[in-house]
Amino acid sequence: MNAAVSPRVPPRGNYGRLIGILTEYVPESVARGIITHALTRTGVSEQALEQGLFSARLLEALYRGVDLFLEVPARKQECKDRICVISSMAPADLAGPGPRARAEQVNIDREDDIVTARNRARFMAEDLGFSKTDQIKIATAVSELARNIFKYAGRGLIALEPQSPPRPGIKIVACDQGGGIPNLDEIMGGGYRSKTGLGLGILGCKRLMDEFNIETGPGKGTKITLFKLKT
Amino acid sequence: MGRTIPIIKIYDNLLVSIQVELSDALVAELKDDVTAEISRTGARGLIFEVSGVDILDSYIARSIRDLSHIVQLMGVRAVIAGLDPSMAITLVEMGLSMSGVSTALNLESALEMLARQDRNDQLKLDAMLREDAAGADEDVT
Repeated sequence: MNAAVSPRVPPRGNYGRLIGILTEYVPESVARGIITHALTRTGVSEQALEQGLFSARLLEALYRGVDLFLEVPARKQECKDRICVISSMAPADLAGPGPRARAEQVNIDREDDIVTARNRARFMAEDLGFSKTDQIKIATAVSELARNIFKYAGRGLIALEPQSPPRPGIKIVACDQGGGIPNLDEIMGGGYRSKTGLGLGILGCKRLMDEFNIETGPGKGTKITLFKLKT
Repeated sequence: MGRTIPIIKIYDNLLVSIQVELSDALVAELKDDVTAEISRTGARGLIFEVSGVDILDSYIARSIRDLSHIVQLMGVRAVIAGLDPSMAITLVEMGLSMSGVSTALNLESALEMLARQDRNDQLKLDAMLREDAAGADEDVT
C-alpha cells in the first residue's frame, strides 16, 4: 500500500520542508500524520512530493490537517501561508476548480480492490467538481461494478476517465474476461434477485448514471461503460 | 482475537458501529457475533450506526438489512442510525428497498426511539397484567 512515514526521508526537499514548518506548530508525530494523510487522500507518493509535485488538492488536504490540529486562527493562517509559499503556488491558484484529474486504472483482484476502486472514483469526482451526492453516486456505482467483477469474474479492471467539455464528466469502464452475464435481460428488467443481492447492482448502476452501456455474452466477458455528466 | 467490529451494550440495547469495509467474511462474522451477543445479554434493541460508512452499495445495504431481519426474528428491534443524506438519496435512486427496518437520524434518536418503544411495550404489558388480575378477581367472587 502506501509508503508510510519513514525516517529514511532526508530533511530536505518538500517533505522535509513541510515537516520543518509543521513541527513549529505541532508535535512531529502529528506533523508526519498530517502529511501522510494528505498524501494518501490525494494519491500522491512521497517521492512525487519530494520531486516537487504539489497539487492544489494536496495543498487543500494539508490545510485540512492544519485546521484540525492547530487551534489559534492566526497561527493556522500563518502555517498555511508558509506551506503555500513552499508549494510555490500563488493563493489565487487555489480558488479555481481543482487540477484536471488524470485517467486512472484500478485492477480488481482482491476484495480490498473494491474499496480502492471506489475511493479513487470518489476522489476523482471530487476533483472534477461533482456535488457531494453525485460523488457518492459515482463511488457507489464503481463499488457495484468492482464487486461484480470480484464475485463473478474473479478479476478485471476498472478505468476512470475524466471527460472534458462540451460534455464534462466522468467515464467509467469496467472490463473482465469472466463468463459473461447470461440472464442480462432478466436483470435489466428488474425481475432478478440474486441471493447475494448483486442482481440489483447493475440495474442500480444504470439508475445512478446518465449513460449506461453493456457488452456481454456467454464466454465473452463483460464490458460496462458508464458516464455521469457534470451539470 | 477480538472482534473486527465491536458490539457495545448500552442500556438494553446493542450498538454496532460499522466503520470498516464489510467483506463477505466480516458479514458472516457479524451475523454470528450479533446473534450470539443478543442471546447472551438479552438485549431488546440493536442499533446499526452507519455514519462511519463511506459507501453503502447494494451488497452492504442488503447485508445490514438481512441482519436486521435476522435479529427481528429473535424479538429484537433493529434500527439503522446515522445514514448520510447523500447515501440515502443514492439508495433510493438505485431502487434499493430497506423495508422492514426502522431508521433514525442519529444514535441519540435511535436510543430514544428504542426507549420509547420499550416503554410502550411495558405499558401494554402492565395493562394486560392488570386485566388478567381483574379477570382473576372476578372469577374468585
